[in-house]
Amino acid sequence: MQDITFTGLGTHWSVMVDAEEFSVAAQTAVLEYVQDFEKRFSRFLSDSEVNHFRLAQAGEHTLSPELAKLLSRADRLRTLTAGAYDPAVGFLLESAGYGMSEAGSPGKPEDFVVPQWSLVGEKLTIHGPVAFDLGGIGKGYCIDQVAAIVRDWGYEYYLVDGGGDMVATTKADGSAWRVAIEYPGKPDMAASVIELVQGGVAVSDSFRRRFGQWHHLVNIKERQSVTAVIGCAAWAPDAWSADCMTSGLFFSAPQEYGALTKEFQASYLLFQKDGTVRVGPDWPGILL
Amino acid sequence: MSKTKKSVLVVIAVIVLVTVYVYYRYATKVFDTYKYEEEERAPSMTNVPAGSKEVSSVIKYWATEDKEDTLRFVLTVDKDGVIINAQTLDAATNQVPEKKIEFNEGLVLTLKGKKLSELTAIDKIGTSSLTTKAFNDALGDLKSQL
Repeated sequence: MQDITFTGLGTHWSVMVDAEEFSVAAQTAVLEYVQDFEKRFSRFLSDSEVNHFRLAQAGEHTLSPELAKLLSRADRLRTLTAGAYDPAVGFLLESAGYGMSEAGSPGKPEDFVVPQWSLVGEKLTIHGPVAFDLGGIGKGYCIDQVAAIVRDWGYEYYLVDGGGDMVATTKADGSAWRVAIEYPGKPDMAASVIELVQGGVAVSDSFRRRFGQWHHLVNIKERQSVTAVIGCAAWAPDAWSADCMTSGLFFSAPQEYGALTKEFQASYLLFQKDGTVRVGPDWPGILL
Repeated sequence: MSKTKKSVLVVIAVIVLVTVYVYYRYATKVFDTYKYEEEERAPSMTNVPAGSKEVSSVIKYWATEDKEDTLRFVLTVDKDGVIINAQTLDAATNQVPEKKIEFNEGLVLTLKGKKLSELTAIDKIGTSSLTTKAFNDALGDLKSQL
């Protein structure tokens, strides 16, 4: 088993290949992609693509194919959550203290007005300045792209872990990767163990990335962080779908979980603030 | 016997008679139905490992606005009480329902969790990512403003 570890998108990464060697060229390709992804899509970097619209005039803007793809998925998630999830939440996050306020930010959360935007193909239409934040969908996409790079370099068996979200094939002997699902808020405890084979896993909770009374999962319509759900884990055919599933669960009512399950072909564990756990149909893991 | 005592005895007698009537008229049927449902409970589709047991619960839900359906949640619990399998079946056919994926509420449980140090052969831990470097930078900036 060979691996490479590094920091990217503000978190720890590990790419494991079940092979005799992991070439320097392949490792370099992985590192370069993640660095480039961060440079292009991080809200924390002022010249990133997602920050191009902070001072933009109302009108139509042409996006890069990759940003269009990301925003298209975000748009779909916005629809599935009836607008509670919205990547145009950047200014609100900043006004609440998550990330340094830069040009365009409102002074206080109560002054925030939900930016209007729509997307057709690669054409983005905005009604005024927008700060996009791809948290909740961006990392899963990046993990899958890293996996594609690893595959392109000829490695058949791998696990790509981006800060606790991951995608994997089998190991070379055909066996599964045993993945423990952390219990939200209890870093030394597991809630489940999955035998991960050809699929993605994502985990999200409201205990990390807190700022004052807020955490990073903010309902843009209510201008406040989600409180009904304290954490969730999702299993799906790929990391991007799993990542989107966890975001969808945070921002949806229980009666919408079926639509999310169908959309992302996923299953889930959802940890509620009353201490109970909702287990989605076909959750593939052992519950502990 | 006083008139008041007589009245009390009459009331008590009426209550006893009504209770006996209601029990035989309704309660026995309720118990029979419950027993019938227990006997009709078909086994799930899984082979239950030795030492494990299955428990199940049937719930009703509205499949469409005018159609009610029933689903059976089946849990397999090992000898230590750990849930090792959870299934959702059509309560009528005991098969995996074709549209099960559209069932949307999930099964609500209480999980105790298990210490990571007690788990064996774990390759990875799925976890929410730690505080980002960018956020740490922002915190430094915020602290400097205090």
